Order: sequence, then structure tokens, then C-alpha cells
Amino acid sequence: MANDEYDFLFKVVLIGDSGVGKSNLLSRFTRNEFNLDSKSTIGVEFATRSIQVDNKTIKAQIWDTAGQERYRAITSAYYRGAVGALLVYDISKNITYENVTRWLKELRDHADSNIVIMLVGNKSDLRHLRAVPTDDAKNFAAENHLSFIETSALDATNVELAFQNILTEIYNIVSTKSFAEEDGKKFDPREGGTNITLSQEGPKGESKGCC
Amino acid sequence: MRSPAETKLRWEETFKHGPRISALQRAIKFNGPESPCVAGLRSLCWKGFLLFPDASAEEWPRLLRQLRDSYDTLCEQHLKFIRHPEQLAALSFDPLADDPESPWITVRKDEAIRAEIQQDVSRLPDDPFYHQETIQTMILDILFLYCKLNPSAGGYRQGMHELLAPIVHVVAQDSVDDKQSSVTDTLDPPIVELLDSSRVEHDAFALFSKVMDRAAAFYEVEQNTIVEKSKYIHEVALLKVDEELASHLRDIEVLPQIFLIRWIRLLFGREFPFEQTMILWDAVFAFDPNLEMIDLICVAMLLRIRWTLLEADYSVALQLLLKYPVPPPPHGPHTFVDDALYLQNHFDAAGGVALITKYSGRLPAAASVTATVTSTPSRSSTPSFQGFGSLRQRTLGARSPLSSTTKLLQQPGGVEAILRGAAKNVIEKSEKLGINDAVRDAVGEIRRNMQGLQDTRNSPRINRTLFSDNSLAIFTLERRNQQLATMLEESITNLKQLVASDFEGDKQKQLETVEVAAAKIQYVKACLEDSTLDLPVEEPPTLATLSISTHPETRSPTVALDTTAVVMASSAVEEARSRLSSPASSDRNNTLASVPEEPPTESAAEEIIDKMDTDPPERKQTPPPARPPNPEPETSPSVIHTPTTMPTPKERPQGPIPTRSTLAQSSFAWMLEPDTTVSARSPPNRPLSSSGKKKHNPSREKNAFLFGEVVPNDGAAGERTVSPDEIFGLQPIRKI
Repeated sequence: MANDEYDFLFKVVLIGDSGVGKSNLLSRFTRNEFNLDSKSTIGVEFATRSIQVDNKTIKAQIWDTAGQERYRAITSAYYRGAVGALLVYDISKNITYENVTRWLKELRDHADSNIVIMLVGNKSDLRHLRAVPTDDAKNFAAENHLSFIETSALDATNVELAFQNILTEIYNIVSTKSFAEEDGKKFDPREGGTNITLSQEGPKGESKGCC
Repeated sequence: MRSPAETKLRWEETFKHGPRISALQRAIKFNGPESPCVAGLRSLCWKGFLLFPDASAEEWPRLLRQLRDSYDTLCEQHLKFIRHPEQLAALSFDPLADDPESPWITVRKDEAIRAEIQQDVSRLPDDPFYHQETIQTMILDILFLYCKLNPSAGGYRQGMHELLAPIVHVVAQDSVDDKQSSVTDTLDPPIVELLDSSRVEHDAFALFSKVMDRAAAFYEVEQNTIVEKSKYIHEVALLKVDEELASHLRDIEVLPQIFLIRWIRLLFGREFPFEQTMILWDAVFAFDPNLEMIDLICVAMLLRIRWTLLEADYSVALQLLLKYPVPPPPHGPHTFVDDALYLQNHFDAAGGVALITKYSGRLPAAASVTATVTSTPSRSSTPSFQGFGSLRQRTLGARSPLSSTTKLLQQPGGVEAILRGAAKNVIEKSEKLGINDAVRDAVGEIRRNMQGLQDTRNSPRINRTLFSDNSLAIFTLERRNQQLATMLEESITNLKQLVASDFEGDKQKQLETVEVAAAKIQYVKACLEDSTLDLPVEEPPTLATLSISTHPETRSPTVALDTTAVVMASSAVEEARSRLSSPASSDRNNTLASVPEEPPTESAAEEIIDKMDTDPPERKQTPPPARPPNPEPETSPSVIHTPTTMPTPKERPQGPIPTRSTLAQSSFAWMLEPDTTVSARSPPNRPLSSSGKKKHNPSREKNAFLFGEVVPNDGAAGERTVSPDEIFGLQPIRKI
């Protein structure tokens, strides 16, 4: 069924408050679709897409969950083996930006300590409603060693780039570090936690592609 | 809103079977376009099932009035200032004061709750109905009130809105406006009152609250109930009915809560198209208003796609489970409720096999030892029924998921399940379509099952193990073939007569004839496929013997072989029919009048295990009197169904081999030492581990090990000269 020709398989999770557009980022990236009235996510959604980095095929297994699921139920299953996280907020709703610190704590508590995190300010098309200045978020990201990008799932701005960036970042870490000696070995996120030895490379790429 | 005339028609359609709930349930059972929920007024049916299960329809208006009044009171209490902010302003409280008693504080908190709810309500599915302003407000208000009344539930949880929205939809769709003269002219006042359009919100709230009485647990966060429930479904319920699938899901590390959260919290609302989901809900509310069968519905859904799942890796499986393939008609989603009801009564591997075979026509390859053991006792081995009993006993050792040659033999109760399934289908279909179709279908079903069983034809095991003495084997087989031929002859004659009579006359009788013939043919087929299967001396037992449970009376060793097939089969017909016609098979009181049946409890698992541990005396057998004295293997009197007394884990057996009989206790005993017959009178509760016999019988000891005895026995493996698969086509069993 699925085309299983890939060199690396990375699990990436989408987190952030309810209604910031996580599901639409996922559908835009994996199916190039956007739905203005998309239903709220219940539990977990899941999609994959493969991209090329450095002549290697990277299969991204992207998990999307209900914003409310911050409260337990599937937390451990959700973060298990994740090597990347897109922490999404809505640039038109300040509260979703304020809650970013809570999500970072959640990641610290439940995800692998070396998980690659990208802060994503979504709904950048809503310029007239902007509540979170780009520079604020950019500075916050730098302080916390996060990558940063603003996107619009609605008009597709930067969505592709956001995923490309985080997957490339993960790939760079994985290929240069822990897997140098076993080139080409499949990187299976389900083994995560035991043999992931990602390390933070410092705040790199934080201003890539932001508008 | 419908025209008054149509509403009147639908009203009549709803109650044409009578005003009682049981009548409605019966009508739902055959969920076609005739269902009172589809052709009649669904909202009324739901009100009946959920709100007034014990009341006659005449009482509904009065009861509904009470519920509506209490809702008005609640609104007055909690929605006053939200609906009428001007009244808040008129109060003498300072809006900026920090007084926690201040209604302003409460209102601000309430607004926050409502904002959270509104975010989901505005994202309800595409149906324009949900996006009308009045409906949006109505859904918001109901959810808000529910949260206010149930603070312990942890507030609003995402998903509740999609449980409520369909309810509002259904109630609103059936409602009538009592201010229109055409309505009041056409419809009787009680009808108008029950369907009052100004009370849609009240009624939807009542229905939603009732559903949430049980569903709230699915949303609970502190105890993480949903995760526990998911684990139970995977590691207990599914394991019990389809161990192969449960193990596969475990092996590919698909965590059940990942997909079950949505299935369960939304009562499958996102898994199927709206109309089909509603028909599913009809059945759920009709037969399981307390939502106790949700687990089994999930299991049934997994069984339905088990073949695809077995071939799927992690991502494919997850994608499949998160985007469940809509089951094609006529087996739409509501049939999962039928399956769940069936599983409730057949909560074992055989039940799983029956469902898998029913929908796919394929027999599962391997079933677990665990499942085998737990499935064995409930319905097995009336003494008359040595054939299947010993078959099952033999399968205890069979554990070879990769082998395709021994499918049937590895199938605990496989034959039994097929027979039962076939019989049920014959009857079901006869009732719906008439006898002609039933005959055709039965033949088709038999043919299909034959295909499914082809693989087992050449089972090498039989040749290697049973017929070491060729002449004896040939003699035995010839005699056996004659018996089988006689049976086929009878069935053919009966069917021919039926055709000759052009299906005139007593339909009931004809049904039974078809039924008996089908059962016999199935039985012959089973016998042909497994030559280790014993034939009773006079008449082969048929369906009924399989279905009759281990009621004490039926266990007497003499009941056995003098019961004729016809009598037994007809009781099977009764059993199946009573199951079909009983308005709620979940109602254990009226499930089976004539045939004792184990009660369909949720704790069936435990009961079965308990039984297994304690009922050996009944299962001992003495050889049937008419049996020839020669030591031919098939009819060896040494077949003992003495179960082990090993402690069986009550829950979620992780290890693959919790309990099994020793070989010495099985029907293979004759092979180990032909001169030593294992006594049928051996103490039934003899603990395996202390069996002194094994000590001086190395061959038995080593073979006993093959059958997975959990006895520390390090020496045995090394001494083996013949590997278990060489002998039995079995997979060696890893020691713990």
C-alpha cells in the first residue's frame, strides 16, 4: 500500500492550542488541502509524506492531536519516538501564543529531551487581526533555542518550508551524529528514546522564511 | 420540518408494532427500510429507548413534560444572565468588584467556558443544519448547561459536541410547530406535544444527558479511563476472540487508544457516513442504552478488517484504523451491533472465528492456546460429543501461525463455529427471503466454507500420527466413509423431497429440513477434512450437540449417542430462532428458553476460566457402549478432557502459554504408550506439576512438554530426538 522506499522515517508531532490550525497544516503539507470548516480533532490524526533531503528520502510521519489533549489520555503514546515537534500558535489570538510556554513544558515532561522543536505562528494571512508581533515570537524562539517560522495553511505560505526545515534539521543531526558509523540505516521513530542521540545545535534557522 | 401528513404517516409507522419498547426493539432488529427509526420517527424511538425504557408510549407525554419542566428550571438558574445581560446590569453589584459571590465573576467564568465550547460548535460537520444560528446557540447552551451540572466531569471535553449535534438534528427533524393550524388539524394533541418544536432543546438535553451518563467516562481525564478501556479492548476482549490479531497489533506496536479514543468518544460518529451512523446509533440505543457493548462493537470492527490488519505494518494499520473502511451493504455499520450481541454470547475464540468467517469467508489460521483453553469449556464436550471434544483437545497443542496446512485443526471450535454460523445464517435468511433463497444461500455458504477449508485437506499431521498401522487405517477409513456417505444420502434425499414438494406446506418444517441437511453436510465435510474426528457409532451428532452448552443434565454420559440428529438439529433451530427473535439478546433472561446457554456477562471470561478449573468430573468420559473394542485410534477410549488445574491468569495473559492439558491427558495419549491407557477415572484435579506418572515415563514427559505445559523442565528439550513440528506440524513452544 504505502510506498515504503525511504531512507529515514521521522515522527513529527503537531502541538498547540485548540483551533490554531494544526490539522490544516497537516492536510496542507500531506495532501495540499485546506478546509475552512475543518472539524476539531478528536484523539489523534496521522498522515505521512516523503520528501527528499540531500538525495535521501525522508518519510515524515506526522501526528496531529486535539489541542485539548494536553490533558493526558494519549500523551505518552503521542510523544513516544517523536524526533520533531511543530509548536503551533495562532498569530491572531494572543492566548494561544501565551500558552506556548505550557506546551514547551509539556514537551520537556513527555518528549525526548533532544526533540527538535519549531515554533510556528500560523494564520499569517490574517494580517489585519495580528495579535502577536513577529519579532516577539522570533525573540522568544531564539531565547529558547527553537526554530521559528510563520505560516498560513490557508494560502499555503511557508507550510512546505516549515516541514522541510524541521525535517532537514532532524536529518542533519541524525546523519552527522549518531548514525555516522551506520550509514543508511533506517531511523525508526518507534525505537525512539533508546537510541536517539539528537542534540540541540543551538538556535539555528530561526528566521528562515518568516514573512 | 416535515409536513403534518408525513409526520402522521411516520407516527403510524413507528407504532404499528405496538406501543411497547420491546416491540420497537424487535422492529429495529431487522434494520431495513422498515425500521421504525428510518421509516418512522427516530427521535421518538430514541426517547423511548433512552428516557422511558419501562413506560408505555401513552405515558410518554406526561414523563416528557416533567423533563422539560426541569430543563426550564435549569435554564433559569444558569442561563439567566447570559440570555438576559440587561438583568445583570440591573443588579446592584459592582461589575469590577472582586467579590467571588458577585454574579459578574460567575458570568465571566461562564463566558470563558462558552467560548471554549463555541470554538468546537462552530467547527461542527458541514451539514448546513448545524450552522444555523439558532442551532449553534442551542448546542452551545445544552453543552454549557451539561458542564455546569457536571463539574466533576472536568468541564467541556472535545467530542461531546459531536455526540450532541446528531441528537439535536434528529429531534429537530421530527419536530412539529404547534402554532400552525395545519399541524393541530392533522395530528392528535399527544403527538403534537411529543414533537413540539419549541421543546427541541429540552428533549435534546434530556437525551444527551442520558447518553452522557455512560459516555462521560469516555471523556474522563483524571483516571484516564479511556486508556484503560482501550487496553481492555485490545489485550483482553480482542485477545479472547482473535488472539492472532491482538498479537499482531501488539507486535507492530499500534497502541489501541490512538484510534479507539475517537471511535468511542464519538460513538463511531466520525467513522461512518452520517445516515449509517444514525442507524448504528438506533441499534446501540435500542439494545445497549447503557453503552456496555461499546467494547465489543470495537472488537467486531477490528474483526471485520482483520485480514487487512494482519498484513499491515505500523503506518498502514494506523491509517486504516484512523480511516476505517466503510463496510459495504448489506453489512452496514449497524451490523457491528449484531456482531457485538453475538460476541456477548460467544465471547471466545470460536465466536471470533464465526464472525471472521461470516464476513470474509476465510478461516483464521492460528488461534492461541490461551484462547483455545478459555473457549473450550463453555459449550464443549457433552460426553456424547467425543468427536469435537477430542478435536478440540488436540488443537490445544497446535500453535503454528505460519503453517497453512493445519488451519482447521488449529482452529479452536472452528468447525463448531462454522456449523453454528451456517445454521444461524440459514434461518436468518429464510425468514427474510423465503425458503428458496435460503436453500441457495446455504449451498453457497457451504461451498464457500469448503474453499476456506481446502487447506486443511492434506494435513500431514494426520498421516504421520494416526495411522501407523496401514491396514487398520484403511479399514477404519472405509467404515468411516460409509457412515459419512449414509449421512450425505439422507441429506440429499431430504433436500430432494423438499424440492419435489415445491416448497409448499409447513414453512417451519421445511426450514428445519434445510437446516438439518445443511448441518449434516457441514458435519460430513468437517469429518472428511479431519480424519481424526470421531464419528459416533449410530448417528453423527449435529449442530445441536455443538450448541448445547454444558448444562449439568446434558452431561450425563448416556445422553450421548441415542439422540437422533434430527431432534438435535431442530433444537438448534429453536436455539437460533429464539436468539433471533428475542428482542434483546443482551437480555439474558429471554435469550434462550429451550437451550441452556452460558449467560452473556461481561465477566464471561472469568466464568469460563473458573469453569474450566472446576468442572472436570463432568468431562471425563467413558467409551460409548456401542463402540467396537478394537484399539483403533479414532475411537480410543483414552480420550479424556480432564482440564488442567493450572492457575489461569484471569486477565490479559501476556505470555503465550498460560495453561494447557498435558499430552498424557489428551486424546494423543494412546500414541505415547499404546499399552498404557490413561485412565478415564484419573483424578480430575490432578495438578500437572505434581504428576508422578511423568517421572517414569520420559517419552510422555517430553511430549507433554510439547503441549506447552508450564512446568520447569529443562532436561526434556535437550533429550528430544524428534522435534515437535516434525511430529505434529506444530511450532515448538518456547519455554518461559
